[in-house]
Amino acid sequence: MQPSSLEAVERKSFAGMHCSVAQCLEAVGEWWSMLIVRDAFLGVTRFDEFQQRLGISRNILNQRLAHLAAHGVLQRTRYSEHPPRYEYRLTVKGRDLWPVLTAMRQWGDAYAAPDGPPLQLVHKSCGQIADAVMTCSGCGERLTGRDVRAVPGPGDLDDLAQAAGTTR
Amino acid sequence: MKRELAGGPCSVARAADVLGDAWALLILRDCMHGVKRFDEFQRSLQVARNTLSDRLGKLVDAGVLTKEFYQDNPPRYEYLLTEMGRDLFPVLSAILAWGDKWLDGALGAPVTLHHETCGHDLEPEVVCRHCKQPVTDHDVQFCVGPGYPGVVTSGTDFRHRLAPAPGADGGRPHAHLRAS
Repeated sequence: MQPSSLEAVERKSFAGMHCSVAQCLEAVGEWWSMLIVRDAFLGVTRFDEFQQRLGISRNILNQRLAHLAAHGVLQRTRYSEHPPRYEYRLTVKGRDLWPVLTAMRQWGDAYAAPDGPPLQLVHKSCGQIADAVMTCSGCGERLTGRDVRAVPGPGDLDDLAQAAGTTR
Repeated sequence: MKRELAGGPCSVARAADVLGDAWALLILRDCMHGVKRFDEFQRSLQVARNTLSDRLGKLVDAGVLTKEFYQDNPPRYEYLLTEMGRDLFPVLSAILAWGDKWLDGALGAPVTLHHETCGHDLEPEVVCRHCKQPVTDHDVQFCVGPGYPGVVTSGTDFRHRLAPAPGADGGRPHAHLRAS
């Protein structure tokens, strides 16, 4: 496939950014990849079904699946010898994207689902429709951007941390 | 209403459509750090000015940012998060946490989030609003919601993967998944 010029720009720039958001986007690549991960959570494992669900060309899908496998988000396993066929399953690293998808889905439900949520999650242990919320692991309180301050972490100081320090 | 993404009736796909691409998300990250002005975004992101201008415009059109006039001569604007934009904080914090866990290059998190209310450095957790217990994909049943359309373009329909109602059969894809 011909990578778009936008993608070329992303590839070039994100790798050098010492920011976990940018590094995540480097691994996930672009939003189509997040829809592949979403489908994997719904139980899709095979190329043809991903392709049918996403409606993208086979070579682009191939490239996205290979990218996610190379970054350890999906594991590719051969399930048929003749002809050779593979299935793609989430690794532990891939399953850890659950909070990202949950947060995106709930935001979409709130702002882009005029007829109500297309999909609901029932929390098996309590039996209620799970309206999953992000909370602080320290105190359990619901998180908003207003209650949080970004501070330099143990990793490298970077332009983001400096920006955070100078613009607040 | 704009066309359905190829992802079908799905709020993840709709959110991805608004976010547009990775630059848009990094712009929102900077907004949450208090960046407002074009030149500051440009310095932070090292992105071409026309690309930045395009992405800022799209985020304003989507209702995630507002563009406010702050100077006459020359005319200058700043970009502020709307309520809709601020509500993307959980998305960004979830992405940040995943990057910290898996992609920190063994250096530790570049930036940590300090929860001012309780005084801890925080890791966001997904919990059920009703029972307050952590929620993972293995703890939930995927069910058809009220906004699932009656007619869906074939291929993008995933009703067969969902339970028709809470407690009914289906909607448990992890039952077929091996933990890897």
